[in-house]
Amino acid sequence: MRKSLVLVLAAVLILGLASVSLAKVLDPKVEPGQIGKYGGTFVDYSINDPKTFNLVTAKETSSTGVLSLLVFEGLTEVNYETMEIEPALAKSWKFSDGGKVCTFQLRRGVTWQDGQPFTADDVVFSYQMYFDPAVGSSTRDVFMIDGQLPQVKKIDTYTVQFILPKPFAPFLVNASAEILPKHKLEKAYKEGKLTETWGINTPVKEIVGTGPWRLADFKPGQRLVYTRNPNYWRVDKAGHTLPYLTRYIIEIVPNLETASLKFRSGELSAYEVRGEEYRLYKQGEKQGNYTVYNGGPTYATLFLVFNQNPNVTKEPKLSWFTNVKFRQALAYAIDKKTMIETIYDGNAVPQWAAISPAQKYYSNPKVKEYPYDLKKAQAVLAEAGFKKDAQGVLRDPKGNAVEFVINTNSGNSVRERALNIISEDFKKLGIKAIAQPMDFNKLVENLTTPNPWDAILIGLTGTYDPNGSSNTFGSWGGLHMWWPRQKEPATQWEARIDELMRQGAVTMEPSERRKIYFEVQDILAEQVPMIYTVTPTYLGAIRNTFGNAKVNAAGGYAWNSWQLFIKK
Amino acid sequence: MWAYILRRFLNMIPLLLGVSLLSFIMIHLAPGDFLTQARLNPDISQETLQVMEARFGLDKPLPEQYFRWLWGMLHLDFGLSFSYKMPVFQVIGTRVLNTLILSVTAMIISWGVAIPIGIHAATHRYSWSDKLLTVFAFLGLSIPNFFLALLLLYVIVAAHLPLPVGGMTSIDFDYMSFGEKVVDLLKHLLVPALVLGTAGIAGLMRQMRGNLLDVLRMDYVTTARAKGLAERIVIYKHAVRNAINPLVTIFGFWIAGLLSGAALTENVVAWPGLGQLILQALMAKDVYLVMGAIMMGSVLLVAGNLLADILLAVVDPRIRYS
Repeated sequence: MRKSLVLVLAAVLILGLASVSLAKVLDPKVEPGQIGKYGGTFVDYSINDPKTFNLVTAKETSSTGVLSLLVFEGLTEVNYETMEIEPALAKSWKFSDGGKVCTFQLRRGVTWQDGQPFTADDVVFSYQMYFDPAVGSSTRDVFMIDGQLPQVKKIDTYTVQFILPKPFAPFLVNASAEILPKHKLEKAYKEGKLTETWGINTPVKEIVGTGPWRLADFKPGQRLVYTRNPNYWRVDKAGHTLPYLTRYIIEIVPNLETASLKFRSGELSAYEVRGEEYRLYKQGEKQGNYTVYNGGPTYATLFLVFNQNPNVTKEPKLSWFTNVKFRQALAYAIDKKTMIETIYDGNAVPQWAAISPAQKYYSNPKVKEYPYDLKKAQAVLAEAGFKKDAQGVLRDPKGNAVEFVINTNSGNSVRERALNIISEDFKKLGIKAIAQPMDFNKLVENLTTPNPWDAILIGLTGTYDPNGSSNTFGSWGGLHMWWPRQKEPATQWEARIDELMRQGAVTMEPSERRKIYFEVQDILAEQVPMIYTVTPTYLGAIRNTFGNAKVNAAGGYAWNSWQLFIKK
Repeated sequence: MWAYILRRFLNMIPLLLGVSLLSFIMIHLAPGDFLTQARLNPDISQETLQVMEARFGLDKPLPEQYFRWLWGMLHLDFGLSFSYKMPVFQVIGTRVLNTLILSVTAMIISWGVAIPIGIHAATHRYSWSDKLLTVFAFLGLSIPNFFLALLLLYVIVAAHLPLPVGGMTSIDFDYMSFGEKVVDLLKHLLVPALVLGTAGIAGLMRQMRGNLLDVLRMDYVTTARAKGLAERIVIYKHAVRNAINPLVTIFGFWIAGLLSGAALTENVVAWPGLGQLILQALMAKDVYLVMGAIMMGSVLLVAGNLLADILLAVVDPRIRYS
C-alpha cells in the first residue's frame, strides 16, 4: 500500500519535472508570445482524409495539411503573423557569390521524433528526392530556375550549401520544403519504391518528423491524434520546451454543416466561419465562449477571363475579346458591392490588383479601378463602336449582336451566384451573356488545352511569393488563361509583363522587386485580360480558453500550434 | 440444386465482365482524369504532370489500360488507387467493418420494425393505428436521409442532448473498457442507424401489409378459420409464412446494399464508411478504386440474389430448382 503510494508520488514528480523540462536542443528558437502552461488538447477538423503520409508525392491539401507544420518542417518558414521568412530547421543562412550560393547553418541537437539526430545528410537526401525527375514531386518545379536546379552540398554535419544557377528571389521561401528523415526513407528510395512508401496503412510510429507533434494514431475517416514532441526545438521566452499542449487532434468531418454543429456543441476547439455564417457566429460568441477573428483577405481570387486565343476563338468574338475597350467596359459592369453583400454577407473586399491584397507587400494599392457604373460602361463601349439597337441589343461596329457564354464550375455555389450577378448586369448593357456552369473537370480541360470557350469565371489560389504567378502572368505559362503557352508574346504589353516577371524572379532587393510587380499589376489593370472580382475575408472562430491565439488568412487559426495553451 | 448453384456461378462470369467493361467505359466518358486538379495548380509544371501520367498509366491507350486491369483482376490484384498509392483492396478494407456495423444495424432496425408493424397494419386494416403507421411510413419514405440526419444533429446541439455530433467513436475511445466502448459506439450509431433504418421501414412495411392482405383473402385462410384455429395461429403459422416470400427476394437485394454504403448520410454524420470513400474516389477519378467498388457491389448483388433464391426454396417447399 505504502509502496504504491510512493510509486504514485514518484510518477507525479517525474511528470511534474517533465512538464517544466528545459531545452536540450543546443540552438533552440525562442518564440515570442505569452508564457503558457503545459497540458490540454486542441481539437481541429479537416474535411478530407489524408490520402498518404508521404509528403514527397502528396499533392492534395488533405494530406499535406495534416503533416506540414505539425510533423514536418523545412529549413525556413513563413511567420504568418509578420509574413517574414524566418529560420526553422536552419539556424541561419548567408548568401555569397552575388546571391548564387546560400549556406545554411542547421540547428544543432535537433532530433527526429524517434531519437535519431537530424543532420545535413537528411537535408541533402530530402532535396535529392524532391529534385529526382522520376519521383515527380512538384517541389522540383518551384526550384527550377531557367530549366536548371540548384546543387545541394553537405559541407559538414550542420552546414548545407545550395548553389543556384543564378540569384533567385523566391529561393528562401521555397527552402521551407519539408525535410524528411533519411534513415527511414533511404531504403525505399534506393529500391525505387518511394512513391508507395508511407501510405496511410503505414504504422504511425514509422512516420517521424522534427515537428512539434508526433503522429500517435490514425483512424481512416475518423481522426488523427498527435502527441507532444518532448524534444522539440522551439522554446518560450522562459526557456520551456514547446509545445504547451499535450495532444493535437484532427477530426475528419466531411460535411461543413456538421463541422459547424460540432463546433457549436463544443466538440471542436476552432472553426473556419463562412461569410454567410458570420452574424450567427458573432451572436453566439459569449454563450459558446469563443471569439471570431477577422484574419484579413485570403489568397483566393475570382476573376472573369475572355478567350483571346486566335487558334480557337472565331470572329467576331475574337475582335471583341482582344479589344481592350470592350474588356474595360465590361469591368465597369461588374457589381462587386452586390456580390460582397449577397454572396459573402459583407465579408469580402473588392480586388483590383492582380496580386491579391493578402500579399500585403506586393499588392499594388493604386492600380486603375473600375467602379460599378453602367453608364460609364456604355460610354466606353460606344468609344469602341459598340451600340445598342432599337431592341436594346448591343451590336459591334459590323452589326453583329454581342452574345457569348460564360462558364464556371458547377457545384460551387459562390461562383454560380457570382456568375448570375455578372450575367444579369451584362444583360443591362444589351449583351446576351449566357451563364453556363459546367463540370469542373471539363472546365479545366477547356482552360488548359486549346478548346473553344468564350469566357470563364474561375479562381486561383495565390502563393506567398509573387513569382508563383509567373505561370499565369507570363505568356509562356500554362495558366496564362486567355492564351496559354504562347511561343512569342502576342502583344506589346504581354511582352513587357514577360520581361518584368523574369526580372522579378532574379531581383533580390525587396523594394526593387516591389516596383517590378507594381508595374506588372498596373499593366494588367489597364489591359484587364482577367477582370478581378472580390476576395473573401478569412474568419476564424477559436475558443477563448486558448492563449496565444493568432488568427490570420495565410495561416488560419492554428499555425502556431506550438504556442497555444490553455488559459486558467 | 447443386447443379443449379454451379450454373448460376458460371453465369456470373460473363455478367461481371460486361459490368466491368461498361463501367470502365462510362468512367472514362466523363471529362477529365485524376490529374485534372493538378493541371490548375500554378506550382506543377507540364513535365511533372507527364511523369505522373506515366506513373499512373494514364498515357496508355484506354483498351490497354482496361486489359491490364482485367489481367490483374484475374490474379486478384485490383490495382493501385491513384490517390492513396495503395492497393485498392487495402483501401476498401479500411472501411468495410465500419460500413457493415452501420448497415447491419440499420437493417435490423428496418426489418425488426417493418415486419411487425406491417403485420399489425394488415390485421387491423383501416383502423386508426393502421392509418397512423401509413402516415409514418410515407413520412419516412419522403424525407431525404441527409436532411433528416442534419435535423437530428441539429436537435442534439439545440437541446444539449448528451450525444455526440457525428463521427464513429469518441476521442478517448482507445482508453475505454470494452463495455464503455460498446456504449460509445451505440451513441454514435444512433443517428445514422435511425436515419437509414427509418428510410427502409416505410417500403418494407407497405410490402408486408399488402402481401399479408392478399394472403388473408385466400380460401385456405377462411378454411383455417372455419376449422376453428386460433386467430394467432392462422396469421403467424399460415398467412405470414406465405406472405413473406416476396420479402425474401427483397432481402437478397438488401444484402447487395450492405457494402455499398450510404454516401450522403455518411457524409453528414461523418461516418467513416465506404460510401463516402467511393464518392470521393469517383469525383477524383481514382479509376481503379471506383472499379474495385463497383466489382465488389456487383458480386454482392449477384450473390445476394442467389442467396435469396436458395432461401426461397428453404421457406417455401413448393419452390424447387433443377
